[in-house]
Amino acid sequence: MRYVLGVLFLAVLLSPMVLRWAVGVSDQKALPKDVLTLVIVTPHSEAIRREFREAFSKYYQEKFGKAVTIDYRVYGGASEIKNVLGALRETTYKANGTYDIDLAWGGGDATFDVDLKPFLEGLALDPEFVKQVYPSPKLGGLKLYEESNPPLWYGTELSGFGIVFNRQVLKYLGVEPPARWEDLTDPRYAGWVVLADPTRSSSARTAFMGVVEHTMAVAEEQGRGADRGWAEGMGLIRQIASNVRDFNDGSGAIPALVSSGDVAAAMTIDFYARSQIQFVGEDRLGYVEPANSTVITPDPIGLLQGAPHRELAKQFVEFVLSEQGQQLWDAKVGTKDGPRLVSLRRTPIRQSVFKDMSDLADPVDPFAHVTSFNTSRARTATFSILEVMIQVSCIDVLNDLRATRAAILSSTHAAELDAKLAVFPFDQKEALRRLDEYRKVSPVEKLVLIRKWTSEFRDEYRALRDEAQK
Amino acid sequence: MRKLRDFIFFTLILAIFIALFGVPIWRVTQAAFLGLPVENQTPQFTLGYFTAIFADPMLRAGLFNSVMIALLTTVLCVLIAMPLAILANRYDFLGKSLFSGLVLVPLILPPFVGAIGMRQLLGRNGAFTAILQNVGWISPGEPFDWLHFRLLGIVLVQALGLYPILYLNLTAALANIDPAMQHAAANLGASRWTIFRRITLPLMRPGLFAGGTLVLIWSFTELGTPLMFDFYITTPVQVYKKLGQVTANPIPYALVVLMMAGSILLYVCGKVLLGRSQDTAVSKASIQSATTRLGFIKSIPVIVIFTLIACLAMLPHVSVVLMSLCAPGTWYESALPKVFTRQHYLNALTHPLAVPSVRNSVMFASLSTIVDILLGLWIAAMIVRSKLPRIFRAALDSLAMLPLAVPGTVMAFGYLAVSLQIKAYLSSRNMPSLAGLFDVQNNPTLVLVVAYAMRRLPYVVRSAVAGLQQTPEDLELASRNLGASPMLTLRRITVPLIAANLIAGALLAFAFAMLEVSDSLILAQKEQYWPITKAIYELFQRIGDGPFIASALGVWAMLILTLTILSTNALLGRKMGAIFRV
Repeated sequence: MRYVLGVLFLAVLLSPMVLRWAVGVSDQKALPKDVLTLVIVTPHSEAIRREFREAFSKYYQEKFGKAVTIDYRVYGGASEIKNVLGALRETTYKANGTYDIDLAWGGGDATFDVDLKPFLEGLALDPEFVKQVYPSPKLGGLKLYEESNPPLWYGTELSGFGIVFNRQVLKYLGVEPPARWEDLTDPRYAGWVVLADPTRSSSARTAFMGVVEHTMAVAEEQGRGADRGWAEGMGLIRQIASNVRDFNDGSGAIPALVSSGDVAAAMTIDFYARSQIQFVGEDRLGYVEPANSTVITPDPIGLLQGAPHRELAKQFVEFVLSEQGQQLWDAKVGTKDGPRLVSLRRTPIRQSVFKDMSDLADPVDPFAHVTSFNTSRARTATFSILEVMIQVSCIDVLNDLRATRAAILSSTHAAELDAKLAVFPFDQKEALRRLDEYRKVSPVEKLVLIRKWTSEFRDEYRALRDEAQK
Repeated sequence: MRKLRDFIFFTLILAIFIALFGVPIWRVTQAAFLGLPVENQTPQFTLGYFTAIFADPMLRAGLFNSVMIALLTTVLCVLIAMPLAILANRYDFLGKSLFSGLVLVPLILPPFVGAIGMRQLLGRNGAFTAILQNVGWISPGEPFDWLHFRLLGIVLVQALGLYPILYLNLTAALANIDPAMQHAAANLGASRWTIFRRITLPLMRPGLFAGGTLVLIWSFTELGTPLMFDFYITTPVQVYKKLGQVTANPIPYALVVLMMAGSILLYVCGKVLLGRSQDTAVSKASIQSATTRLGFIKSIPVIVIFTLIACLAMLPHVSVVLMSLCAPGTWYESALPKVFTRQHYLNALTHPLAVPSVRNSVMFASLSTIVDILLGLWIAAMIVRSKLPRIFRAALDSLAMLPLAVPGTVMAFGYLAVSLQIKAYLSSRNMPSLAGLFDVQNNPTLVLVVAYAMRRLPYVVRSAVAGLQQTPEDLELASRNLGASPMLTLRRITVPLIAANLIAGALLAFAFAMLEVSDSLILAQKEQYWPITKAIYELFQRIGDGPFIASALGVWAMLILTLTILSTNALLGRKMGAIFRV
């Protein structure tokens, strides 16, 4: 028995080596002793990390004749990175003036502007090079690199937001594929939409901000004013929320939930949807970016204070932004400068890449087909409190919200009451006042404020239900 | 003299415990009562964070739900594990060693992919729905939302995952009961039920208490299952959702302290109910309890019970295996995948992370299990055998359970912060090689082993305490009287007598260390030190085929873990079904 177990144990243990040999995967060569090591903290996926490490090593060897490797530090998402850097700040950084990490890469511009800003330092690149990469420093009003001199971060690729949907479930529900955010408020979606929890996901926060910005832009255009537009945007979000099955913990799992038919539709980042469609097929899954009503955001890279390998870090940033590095984001596997194993299906940020799109897996030029609108600082002023507003009006009172919408829709004056639900009870001015109040108070008082605001919404929903029953 | 020695040992254990567990926890407690440090500001003691939590209906509801889930899960675990343990103890039936092994399968289920496997079964268009459609119980194309029954689902899934903890402890406890007692009762005319109620149950109470409290505290602090069911109003989920604020908000710390207090309270309640008069046994079983050999026909009902539980327990495993062989998107509205592929195994096993990660896991888990056995046995001996005042022993007993009550991520951050502080201190004292030991960023082995060991210590402590309580001290005293040293007595008398309990505890500690998530995600920073769980997590994150490749790696990890456990048992010279018989 012992021998059988021993043989079995060895067979299972050695199976990867045998398989690697059988399919001709070569083992990684041992790195030379004098290899240069760049240290990067990142939430990027294993595929991105591997492709960029291999490509950069090759590029560096060819250009400088030296071996280089990247030591990635992976702690989880953006909040874990912030927490770990916080712990390092109190110890390693205080003692030695360095985090022993060179670069932070990925997590969205909001993360870099808010959470990671205290840990970053400016990185100067050749202005000519910057101009080549970003002919314009902004896209649709959104900065592609940080505006300090030198910039704290540079955008390395672009992410858009849209709706991923399951065609077969939509057929079952009897609804047409969605094209606008408003379509997700259709009561036939009740219990069939999933949204990422904005208190956990920075990309969800950005997507919701985009929805609100869109309604603000429309309201402004139509003369109702941006403040009122804010209330309409938040109202739109709570109407969509009344259809949700759940607020999911992270945004990464959402396309899989739609793909498995657990829900019919969801708001998602473009490359999540595209990657899922690649595996499941377009006959089941679809993705749409609501025309002129979504935002596109850059995913940055930035130098950490006291970086031990500054020059190498700069060279890596230059490589990622180079024509060759940018090809890696969306070129098909096996094409010149393309990825070796998996197509990453992300949108390059360098405009020149789109001149010849023959090698791209998703030949969509974000600079030519701008589905987004001009973003503005004035309209994103409530960004820091948006998640709290969604928490108190939707997440913490989800059952109340669902019951209210159901009561409204079954009442004799549904349209009138639904229109009330479609507008937040206060506008942006009041939201900014609340943001100011929220910022100033202690964590305990924040909890009290959240409780107070939640009960305000609960009261509003109760009143709407009472009206519906009249 | 012995009292003095016990006090010295007690102080020593306390010092080790404080160093390895207390320091990271102190940071949590400090933040909960003093707030987070602000430069140039003296911290002041406050209970404000706790009153704020109790004033908040959502956080209050979270605590209530967590307690309810813990109680219901424990009751269900007892209902599952008790009959299995009694049947395994009493009867020799066809395929017993196979079934005794099969009911332990929940111990080898890797994280992430286990949840995905369950979702694949319970999804609206998942396998169960398809089966109901196929048999005509619901209309074709009509989805069914199994995950809608959240509380019930959480309790069921948790109980099916945790009952082996109780089963192992109960089996060990039953094996330690002197059958002469039951024979005497039977001779005096007691019915089977009376014997069970008046003899067996009281005598197996240490095992019931050991396993029951572990399950109670585990399910009270469980994060993964409520998340899988998207049920967010439980304290562990609320802590998890506030983790992003740990650098600015003391409320999550106060919630963790409440979880620790809640765990101790549940533990004390368990002790009052089950642990009363846990005086050491006065006699050790001199013979093994005789098992009744069942013929084929009589074996059938027992086999049915074992098969039923094993099948239910293996559902996630089966689902993970099917996922690992299924072409993405082809297990949809069907009971089984429509297209099979071996590509995920090729992708997973040829991945550069596969081999190093399993090597790291086996190394970290083995080392931490050795630490657990040594420290756990020592603590257990202090709790049961020392002449310390009762309150000291009770305090040590409760302390040893605390690691179960602290969320993994919080502990991991605690270890990270402490190791960084030690490293900075040692570097400033010009001790680079010693500082290197604590340098999590470069080599996390030491810190990971300590973290794994501390978090799994309660399993070994509980098992060893139960074993010692069922073993009369007279045997050890006799050995000492005959001139044996304490070490020789421990080696030749105590350890062999409680070997079943130690193996049960060590098995749990090893298995759970192999499948550890939180510490691994935070502390294993360099790829070369990633354990298998972090490798699975990484592959799992891939959009599209990620869950499938992760499932393939998960199946491989399950095989390695199963074969490790089986090989260990074979090396110990005992069969799987018999290792808990002394």
